[in-house]
Amino acid sequence: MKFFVNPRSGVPIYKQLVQQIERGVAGGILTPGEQLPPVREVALELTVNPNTVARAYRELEAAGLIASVQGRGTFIAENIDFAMVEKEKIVKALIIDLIEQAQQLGLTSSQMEKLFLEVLKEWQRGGAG
Amino acid sequence: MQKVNDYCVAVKNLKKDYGQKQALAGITLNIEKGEILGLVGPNGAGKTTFIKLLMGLLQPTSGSIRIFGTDIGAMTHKEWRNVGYISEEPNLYDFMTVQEIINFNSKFYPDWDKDRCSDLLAHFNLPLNEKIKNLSKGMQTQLSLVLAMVPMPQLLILDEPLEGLDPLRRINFLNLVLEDYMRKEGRTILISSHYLEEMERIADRIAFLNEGRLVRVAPMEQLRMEEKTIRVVFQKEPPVELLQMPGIKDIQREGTPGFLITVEDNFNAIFEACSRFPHYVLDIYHRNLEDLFHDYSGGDDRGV
Repeated sequence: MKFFVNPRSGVPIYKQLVQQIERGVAGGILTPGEQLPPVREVALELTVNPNTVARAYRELEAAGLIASVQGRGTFIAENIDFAMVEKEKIVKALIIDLIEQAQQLGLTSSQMEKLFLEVLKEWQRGGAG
Repeated sequence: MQKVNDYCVAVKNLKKDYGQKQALAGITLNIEKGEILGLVGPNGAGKTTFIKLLMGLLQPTSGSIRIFGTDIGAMTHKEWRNVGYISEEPNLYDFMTVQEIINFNSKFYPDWDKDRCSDLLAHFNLPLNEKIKNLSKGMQTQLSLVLAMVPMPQLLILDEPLEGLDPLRRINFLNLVLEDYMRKEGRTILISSHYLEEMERIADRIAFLNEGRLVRVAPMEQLRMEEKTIRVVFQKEPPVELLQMPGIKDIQREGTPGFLITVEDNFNAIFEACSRFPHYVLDIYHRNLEDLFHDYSGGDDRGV
């Protein structure tokens, strides 16, 4: 996977890297067990401070998305559930969008909740709408 | 609390006057071992004066400078060999050829690494038999970098090294600096530059200098995170509490329902409060180093 950074964007560079790797995993560009390039390689490819790349890797490791093996390198975690976590993140963002729009149309929280469960039940029965 | 000796560079209350004119008004700054510190500020802010004082090329009016824990007045030749320096105007002996200045320079360093030197010269494609005065400004800067880097100094001080380099050469130059930085743990770099995008790429911390004063010293990532502007157009007048939330630095109205809210802290809570109130538009504008540079230097001299 090719990494990109935009130094002018105002989004921290380490965050830009974290997001790209998260999305790469969620989208299947990066697969479990796949090796990530070493910090120094990424730093030179993007001309960024190696401490920044290391910080992105540390953050992803803390989140369980990648694992580093002493002397061997950094890998996308084998456990497929981590990709699930990423997928949930994406769906959560979609739900927030939905809530915002519903709110703009004047629906209350309880109306939204009721509607969501109704639609979900209908969909589960096999025929939405 | 770190002790003074733990810092690579420890500057305390450094003042420099040129006659009646105050160039530095009392700078206190510590540079940590292993960090890349970016020094930025408009022209005439005192960056070069600061760096020349560090190198002992100017006498301070008052204040103290320690490098590797030693007062620079008491540093030995051996300790100075651990400090690499590229001045704003690389004043090399321009009657010499590239090869001659390398031979000349290598005599000051008992363990001059010839192979490393050849690699670096080849990297920049520098012509060995050309006289220095015939090299472009960019090539002279590259040559000074080679001379400064071969001895692998623990501290590298670069004063406007990107000046006169085209975008490709700037990246090339920085890559070489980074590659060299990664060769050994704990090496420290102080770099001043007007090229803010490049500074955003490589600096761990940024020090803003303006009119001889340090106006802000902060980690790069913190600078990026803390200041954002939210543009929001509400469907009706928002509650006063929302506009008085802590962390809001500035509010400008755009038409009746529109607001530009500049946030310096507590961003998530403020954004969420805005998103919960019925609105037509809700956008975030990140502020980059150039915006902050503008703020800190009074906005009249972008210096870019």
